[in-house]
Amino acid sequence: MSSKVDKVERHSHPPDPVVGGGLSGADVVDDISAHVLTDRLGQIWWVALGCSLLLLTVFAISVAVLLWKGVGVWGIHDTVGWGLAITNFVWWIGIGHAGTFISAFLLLMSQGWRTSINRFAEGMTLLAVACAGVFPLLHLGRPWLFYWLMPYPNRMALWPQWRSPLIWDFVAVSTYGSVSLLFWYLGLVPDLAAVRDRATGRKKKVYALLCLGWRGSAYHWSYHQRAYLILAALATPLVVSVHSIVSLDFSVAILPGWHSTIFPPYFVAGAILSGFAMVITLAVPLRAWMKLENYITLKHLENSAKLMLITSFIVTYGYASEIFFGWWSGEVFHMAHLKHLFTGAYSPLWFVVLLCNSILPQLLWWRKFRTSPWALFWLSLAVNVGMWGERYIIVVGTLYKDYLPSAWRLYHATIWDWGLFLGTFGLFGSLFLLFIRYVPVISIHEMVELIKEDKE
Amino acid sequence: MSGTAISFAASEEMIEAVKTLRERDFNHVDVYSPYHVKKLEALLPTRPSRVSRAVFLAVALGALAAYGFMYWSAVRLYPFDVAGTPHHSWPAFLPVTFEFGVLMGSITAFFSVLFFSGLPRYHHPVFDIEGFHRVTRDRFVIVVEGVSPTALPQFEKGTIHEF
Amino acid sequence: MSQVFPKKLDGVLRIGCFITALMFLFVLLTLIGLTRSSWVTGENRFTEQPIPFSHRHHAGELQIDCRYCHTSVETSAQAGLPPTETCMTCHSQLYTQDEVTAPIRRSWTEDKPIRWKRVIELPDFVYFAHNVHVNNGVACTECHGRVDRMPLMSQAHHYTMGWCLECHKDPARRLRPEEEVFSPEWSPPDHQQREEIAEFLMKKYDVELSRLTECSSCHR
Repeated sequence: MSSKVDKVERHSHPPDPVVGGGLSGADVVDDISAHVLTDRLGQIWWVALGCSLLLLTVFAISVAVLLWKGVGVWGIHDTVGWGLAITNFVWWIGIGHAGTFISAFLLLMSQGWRTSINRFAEGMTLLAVACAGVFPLLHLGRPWLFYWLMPYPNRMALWPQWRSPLIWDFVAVSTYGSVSLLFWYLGLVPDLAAVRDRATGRKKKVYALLCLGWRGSAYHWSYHQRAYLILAALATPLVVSVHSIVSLDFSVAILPGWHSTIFPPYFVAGAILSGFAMVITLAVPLRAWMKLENYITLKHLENSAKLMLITSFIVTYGYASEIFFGWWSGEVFHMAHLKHLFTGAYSPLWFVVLLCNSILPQLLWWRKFRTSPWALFWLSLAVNVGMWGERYIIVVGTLYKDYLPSAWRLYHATIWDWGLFLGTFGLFGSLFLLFIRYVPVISIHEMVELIKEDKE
Repeated sequence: MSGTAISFAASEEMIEAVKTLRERDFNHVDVYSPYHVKKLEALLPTRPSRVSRAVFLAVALGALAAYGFMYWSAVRLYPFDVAGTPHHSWPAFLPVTFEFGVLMGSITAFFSVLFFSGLPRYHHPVFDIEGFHRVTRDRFVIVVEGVSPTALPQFEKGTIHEF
Repeated sequence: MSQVFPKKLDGVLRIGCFITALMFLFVLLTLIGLTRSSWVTGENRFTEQPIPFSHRHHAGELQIDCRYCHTSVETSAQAGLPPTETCMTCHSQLYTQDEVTAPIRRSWTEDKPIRWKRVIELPDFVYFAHNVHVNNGVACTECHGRVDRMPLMSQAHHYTMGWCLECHKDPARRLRPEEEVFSPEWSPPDHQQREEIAEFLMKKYDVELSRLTECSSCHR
């Protein structure tokens, strides 16, 4: 693998190492286990958890109010029926995609550098999918009837409408969540065993239970590694398929601004752009805080930044083609849609989107920018905002002026819309904090293998 | 289960020892290591392709079942006219077919590892070997089942435990 | 290193997993069965009425036509329940002193309608039209069962959507000639003719199959 790692670094600068500080395998095991077993994160962790739990309370209240009173507490109405809930859904699920891209796609491509960031990126994926799933579920209005989406033997002799993208979406997102969980856990099993063997007392029992009695036998490893590779191969097409199917929710409808063949690749690129932005948003503070600079090196940040630059171009191409084909069609409503995009009620947001997703990422042409963690951090925040805005423009910007001018109506998110959105950060934050505290945040066995093979 | 465990600090020494043991027809040999030692695949009768075959079967059956079920429900059980499309509008059935195949394959991949490895198993004789906890850190332990230390060839570096 | 868990844990866990899986399956099957059982659907359930009216006596033994009491069945979505006056056409002369018919007389003298209880309760989003069915060859007994044999009225079927669809997907052999719709009993001459009659009736009533399974046919 080492030769392949070297191939990545063809630039003239001295390559940033994948693992810094000259760590040995045993050092990695001790260091990462200690992260889990001893309280290295200190008081800041408790403060952060407190803030997250506060937001989680906001989440709980928003959900409770919604369930008690119904979706009328949201800003949606007959004209804009999708609003903030679907915007947030698309945004969160897009963020998950970078995790799968790193852990599955880059594994298949033998990109050794992925090893140190895959675990936390997978964790990010899982939690982002969980946050995303909340929205369509609650948007049903009667979420307790969600099982109507599944085929089950019912007295009505009814089956799901298989030709509807909404069913594809349900199947795609639940598959994505399940596969991500299995992939994440399979990789985690040997690491939990490593923590078990360093732990004492009750913690030892907990990790012993969680690691399923892993012994590290050559036979176990043989099955494990094969299955891990296969799961990567199965998860890789999901990176492309999930957001493609999400995009079909829109593009199957015949509305201007939605009905476009560019949507699947445009959505996938957007997903990976926002996903890598989130990876950087999380990785930069995390590596400083948890002192993971030796694992998450500048090389990781730079590679993520390069991927952001590429996907930013694809997304920009999506914008351009949408505008071009709208103009090319000459169709009245499509032309009007474009006009509204640039001069309508939501045009300021549209310019923010262009700035954040197309113009600002051009800074990534400079290596100096790509290797300054905190500059990247602020840029990634801007991209996160930009990508959220893009989804808002797609959902609301299209719906508020449909084919029936008498029905045109602006959309205003209510406090409960924002409460739920803010609340999902609490959900994400609390679970993420628990994750970095109690789960090996770097894949131990893969790091040990990487170091071993680097030496050879 | 009882036998002899030989513990090594370096993977190269362990691999040499495994080679020696295999040459002398010791069949019940297993190696416990902190990571996947790829060279062992050739030395021990591991069968990772069992996982591949199980997953292939699961993906094929899952996809077939999903498509068959959609056909059965949308064409036979309750044919329903949507915008004049044919009842058997197969392109629309593909996303679910694909997703369900992947889902079944992934579940099978995960559980076949457990099934073929005999996990979860929380109590195992090898855990009684002295210093076995270092297997997840920096030790490579060869276990020869049912053989006492005296019957084994001598190794330069390894530390021997009977259990 | 020593063992973290005792040996018996593995056995306990395996048995535990097995039992959990069985329980899960059991709960699932129970739920599927329960929703179809008469406890939930009310199949064969009797409804207590203010008067223990016997359809067996009136429709069966006396052979009074359904439409004598349910007058609007051919012209309206509702079959209609008889007003006290309809009862009094006979019961002003018959059983005038009986305890059983007392509520009719009370209703008559107090000018208050008899509060009959609904036997078959369809959900509000189902628009069942009696006239459409009886005018197109669907006999009363097709849904209501052998009313002429019921001393007290009960639900003849479970009236789930799946049950409705059984006929809506394949109505041909459930159709009757116009003059037989209100007969409690009708059997076609013989099997050979049955198929021919079914085909003839489908044409005669102009039944468009795809319409019968459209959502908006029943849910408006």
